[in-house]
Parts: sequence; C-alpha cells; structure tokens
Amino acid sequence: MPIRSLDVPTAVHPLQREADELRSRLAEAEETLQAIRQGDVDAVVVSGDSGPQVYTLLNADRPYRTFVERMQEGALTLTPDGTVLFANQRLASFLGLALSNIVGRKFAQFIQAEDRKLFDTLLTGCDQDGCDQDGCDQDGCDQDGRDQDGRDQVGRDKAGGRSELGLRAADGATVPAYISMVELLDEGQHIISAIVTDLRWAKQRMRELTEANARLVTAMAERERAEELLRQAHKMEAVGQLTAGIAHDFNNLLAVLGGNLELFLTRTTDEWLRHRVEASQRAVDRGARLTKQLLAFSRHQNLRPHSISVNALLRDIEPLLRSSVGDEITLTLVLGDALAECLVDPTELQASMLNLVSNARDAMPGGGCLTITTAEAELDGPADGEPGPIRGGRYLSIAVTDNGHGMPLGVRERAFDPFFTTKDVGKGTGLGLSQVYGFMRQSGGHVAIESIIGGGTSVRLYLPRSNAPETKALKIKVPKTKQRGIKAPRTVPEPRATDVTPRSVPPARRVLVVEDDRDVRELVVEVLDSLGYASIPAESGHVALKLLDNGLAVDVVVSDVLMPDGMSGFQLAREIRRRLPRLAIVLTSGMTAIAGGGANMTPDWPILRKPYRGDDLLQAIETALDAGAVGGGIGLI
Amino acid sequence: MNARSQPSTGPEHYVLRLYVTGSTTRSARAIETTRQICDTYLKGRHDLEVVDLYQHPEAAAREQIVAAPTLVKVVPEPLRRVIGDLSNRERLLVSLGLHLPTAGSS
Repeated sequence: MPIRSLDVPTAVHPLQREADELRSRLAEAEETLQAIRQGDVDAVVVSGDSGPQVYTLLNADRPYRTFVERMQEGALTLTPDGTVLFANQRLASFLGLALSNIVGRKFAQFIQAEDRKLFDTLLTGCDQDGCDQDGCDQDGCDQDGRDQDGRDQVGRDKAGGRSELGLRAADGATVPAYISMVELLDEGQHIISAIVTDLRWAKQRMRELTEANARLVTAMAERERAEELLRQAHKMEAVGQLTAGIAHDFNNLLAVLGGNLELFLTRTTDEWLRHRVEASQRAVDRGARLTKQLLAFSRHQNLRPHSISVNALLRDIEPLLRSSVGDEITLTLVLGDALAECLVDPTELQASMLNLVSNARDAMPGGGCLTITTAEAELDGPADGEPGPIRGGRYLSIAVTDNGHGMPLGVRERAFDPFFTTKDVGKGTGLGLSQVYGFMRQSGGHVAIESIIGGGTSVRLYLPRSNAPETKALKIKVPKTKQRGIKAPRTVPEPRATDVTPRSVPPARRVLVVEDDRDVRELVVEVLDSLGYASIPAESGHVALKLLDNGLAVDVVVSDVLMPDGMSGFQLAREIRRRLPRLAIVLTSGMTAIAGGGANMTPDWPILRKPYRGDDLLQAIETALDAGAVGGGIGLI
Repeated sequence: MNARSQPSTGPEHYVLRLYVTGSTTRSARAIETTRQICDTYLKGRHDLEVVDLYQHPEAAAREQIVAAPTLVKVVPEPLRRVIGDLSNRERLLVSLGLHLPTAGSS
C-alpha cells in the first residue's frame, strides 16, 4: 500500500537495483539448499556433457518401481546384444527361475529355438541395412531412418517391435507370450526395454471357446440330421396312413366287383360273355395285387413271421431267381457259414428278393454280374443310405449287388418313396422298393442302399435274428412262372376251372354274415347262397351279438374286421368266444386289422383277405368248422 | 520500493511454469496447489505450463533448474524460482507476490 504519493522516479538507483537482485538470488539459493537438505525434492538436475541429466532420488522413484514390479506383465531391459540388465519378478515367475539366474544372461536362451530368429530380428532391427522407405515394414522402425528423438540413425538399425513368441521355461515347457520391445537412449547408451505378456490364459480361453463352438456346431448338425430323419419318418408314416386307408376302401370295391363277377360266371355259359367276365376278373386281380403292394408299403400287411434260415430260403428260390434274371446276367450266391436264423415272413421275403433281383436286372440291360450275399451283421447306428431311425443290434444281412449303371444321389434318396420310379411309363408302378422298405420295417429290420454311378448298386436287407429254433423245413410254395418281370406270389390260389354248378356242401349250414358295407354284405350272402349255405346278415357286431343272445343258431360266423360302431371283428370274435366257445369264426379284411392291436401282431384268428374268391371263402369256412369240431380251435388259412 | 513487498491486485498477466519429474506425490501436490492459486487469485489472467523433466530434460537448462519440483514465475518480472514445499499455499502466494507475508512465515 502506498505511503504517500510522492512523485518518486521509478528508476531506482542502479546500486539499489543490483542489491535487490543479489538479495533475491541469494534468497533463492538458500531456499534451494534448504529444500534439498529437507528432502523436499524428487530429483536434481545435473549438467552433463550431453545436456542436463535428471537424477531421481530413491523415494521419488518408488511409484514406478512398484508399478513395474507389481504389474501383470513381465518387464525387462536388455543391452543391444540381448543381455538382461533388469527383469522384474513377474518375468522370473513366467520362466520358473530365480531372478539371479536371469539377470546377466543372454535372453535368447529363454526363448524357444524356433522363435530365436524372430527375437533376433526384433533385437537388431530391420533386416536391411539402413531403413528404406519402400522396403521397411518392421514394427517400431521409423521409416525415414530416424529414431524417436529425431536423431539420425546412421549406420545403426532400429531395434524394437512386437511379436508373439514362445518362451522357454526352466522345465523346457513353452510359455506362449507376446513381447513388445522398444529402444531407449539412456545417458548416450542404447538399451532395449521390453514388456512380456503371458498368453497362456488367453490361449486357454480361446481354446475352450473354440472347442465349445465346435461342439455346438456338431450338436447342431446332429440335431438337424435327426430332425430330417424324423421329418422323413413322419412323411412316410403319413403317406402310409393315407395309403392304408385308400387300400382298404379299394379292397372293398374290388371285393364287390370280383364277387359279383364270379356270381355272373355261374349263371352263363355264353363263351363271349365268359371271356368278358374273365378279363374283368383279371383286372380285379391286378387291382388286388396293387392294393396289396400299397398295404405292404404302408406296413399294414398281414405278416406271418417264422424262424427261418436265409440260406435255405435262397437255395429254395434260386431257380426262380435265375429264370427271372435271364441268360445274360451271371447270378452268384455267396452264402455265409453257420448263420443264425432270422425271424421273418418267408413268403414276403421271397417276394422282396424277386423284387430286388428284377431291379438289378433292369439296371444291367446289356448283361452283367449279380451277387447275393448273406452274412451276420452288427448295426450300432444309422447305416449309410438308410432312411429313418435305426435300432442297433445283430442282424442277418442279405445283399443284392449288381454292377449296373448305379443310382445318382437324387435317385438314391428317393428310391424308397412310393410311386417313385425311374422306369418308363407302364414298366413299373414305383411301388417295388417301397414295398420292400415297408416289409422290412414292419418285420423289425432295415434296408439300406449303396450305389456308385457307373459302378453298380447294392441293396442290403437286415433281418432281425430269431431266438427260436428253426421251424421244421417250411417249404414255400413257389409258383411256376415263365414270365419276366416282378411277379409276387398270389395270396389267393390260382383260379380253378370255372364251374357252373355250385359245390356240394353238407346241407343246411347256417352262416351269420357280419359286414357293415351293404353291397359287400349282400354279395357275401349271394355267394354263400350259391355255395349252398343259408346266411343271416347282420350289419354290425352289436346286432350280431344281439341275434346270438336271442338264441339264433348258426354254424359259423363270417365277419369283417374293420367295422364302425366301436366293435371290430376281433372284439366280436372275443365276445362270441365268451358266449359260444365252439362256434366257428372266419374273419375277413380289406386291410390288416389295426384294432387287433398293432400291425405286426400275429393274429389268433385266420384272416381272409379281400377280395377273395368264392372257393377261398368255402375253404375258410370248412377249415373253421373242422377245427371247431375237433374242439375249440380255429384252423389256419 | 521493493517489488517483493508489493502485493499484486492489478490486472497483470502471469506466466508460470512448474517443473516436475514424472508422477510422484510431491509433484501431484505441487500441481494441485498451483492450480488452486491460479483459479482463485489469477482467474483469467494466467498461463500455467507443467513440464516433465523426464520427458524434456533439456528444459531444465533453459530456466536453470536445479531440482524438481520447481515453480517458475516468468512474468511479471522479475523471474522468480520457488522450490521446496510447494504444497504450502501461503508460502507460494507470498513467493509469487500475491500476498503480504504474515508474521512468522518465510
């Protein structure tokens, strides 16, 4: 604060000014000395030859030292030729060595052999002498040949860079690491400073993630495969249901047609008319075969499995197979030794074999080789070329192999689909393989296709093993046929010579006819009449039971299996058995009885398949009556 | 008149340079205290530069720095170096000529 406003000139006396300045500087010097004495400083600056050097006092250094010692990374400083000047404890722990064994050594010995050249490159700088702007791509290298302080690096390459490499621990193990090096100038000397990051943890995580990802991808692929199989199975199932339904209705129609045609024959001797009727009957027969194939595909066949030897069956039908195959193709049977028996319907198996053999023949229009091989096989998962889920276990395998034109993948995938065929119009219905497929699945087996285009095809059937001893030499009736082409044995016997007069039967046989379809019912009554039976119609199981309960006396009951109103032929039969154990029963069906409890179940009662001929019905009734006479049982058709 | 004993309340512009060596507790406190003073007393009329001697050792020669931390008042003249306990606000204010020394202080 001003004392008095004296107009004092600002130019102070020079001596005064000098005195003030000296006092100021002295005060400063004293202050500085005191500060140093009291330790109020972090560092002192010392003038050296190449400029001021900062000398840090120990305690001021501590935060840095602590940081370097405690950080997660390894730290080290090296001389330009790679000798360790300093290393922190972390690095020592990476290497599994004591610090004293590291400091002073060449660091290269702690690096895996294959990475030493790389380390060398980092240590000594670029490969080229001097830095060439175009050619140099070394990390940390300044492109115009200057170091970080802007000084020329004449004659000296720039060290530094970053890279992954493998450290060599005390036990020889590799420690994956990332090293980052930089060159420093310290008191005119070059030293290399490096940070080393341990990658083990990171690599482990990466590995785990990769494995988890791989597992996920595999699981997804499997799931997709399983879903596809399921979709396929469902599709087949749905088509099967549809087909079975159609076949059943169709069979009823065929029954009406066939039956009426038969009756017609009994009433005329006109040759022209008889020709026409017989031609129509043949059409009905063909229709019956077709529906049978459909049923086979939809696995609603009426199968009768027996324990048989596949070798025996093949030997039995060998002549048939040879004739089917013709002269231009060489057929060879390679039958395995001491094979176990399999459980299968032999008639259907025979039909399947004919099916496959004729397919093979068609694949070799110019002739070739066909081999049938039997063996035991063990399946433990989905077989190649097998649609649908598969059950593991031991099977008997029959392989039909040709060296024909083979199947492309698109055909192979659809080979088992119903109505799919590569044959010309009119040459095949496309039901053959689907029949085989349905039959095998229904029998508890599998079928698989392998094929190479131009190389041939092999169709392999897997049949379930049988646990029962072989049923005594079951001779299969092999119909003689000179026709080429697939000919499944007929389930209805050959047509007898038509006769105008009805067969003679014991008098007054009374038949209770149970059938819900009016036309079929009327037809059956008509047919029975013509055969000499007296028939009483009933439109349902309930009606039939009521009639019986009310005292109706009959000798035999002929009933359809599939009827509405909640009572199937099977149920009716069981009910009748309860009331009248000796009453003969014949069941008829347009389809295998589902109500009986599963398509694969061997029925206790004989089932006469529609459409049937009058003679078949006669035989069935007589057999049932005979069996009933013996006591309680029912004969087999 | 001794310029030292004249506190400044005028509109003069201050240029200050604080020389430190890296990050230590001491340098942190020095920086903090100096900033506080600038914000309180020299609002809008100061330039403060913090120089790390580790990064720029050659700067020590320019201002003839002997030890760190040192606070240099470049302007207004005369140039003044302050060294010692720079966390002492009172001392700093006096040294910079922003305060009259109270009895008992340096």
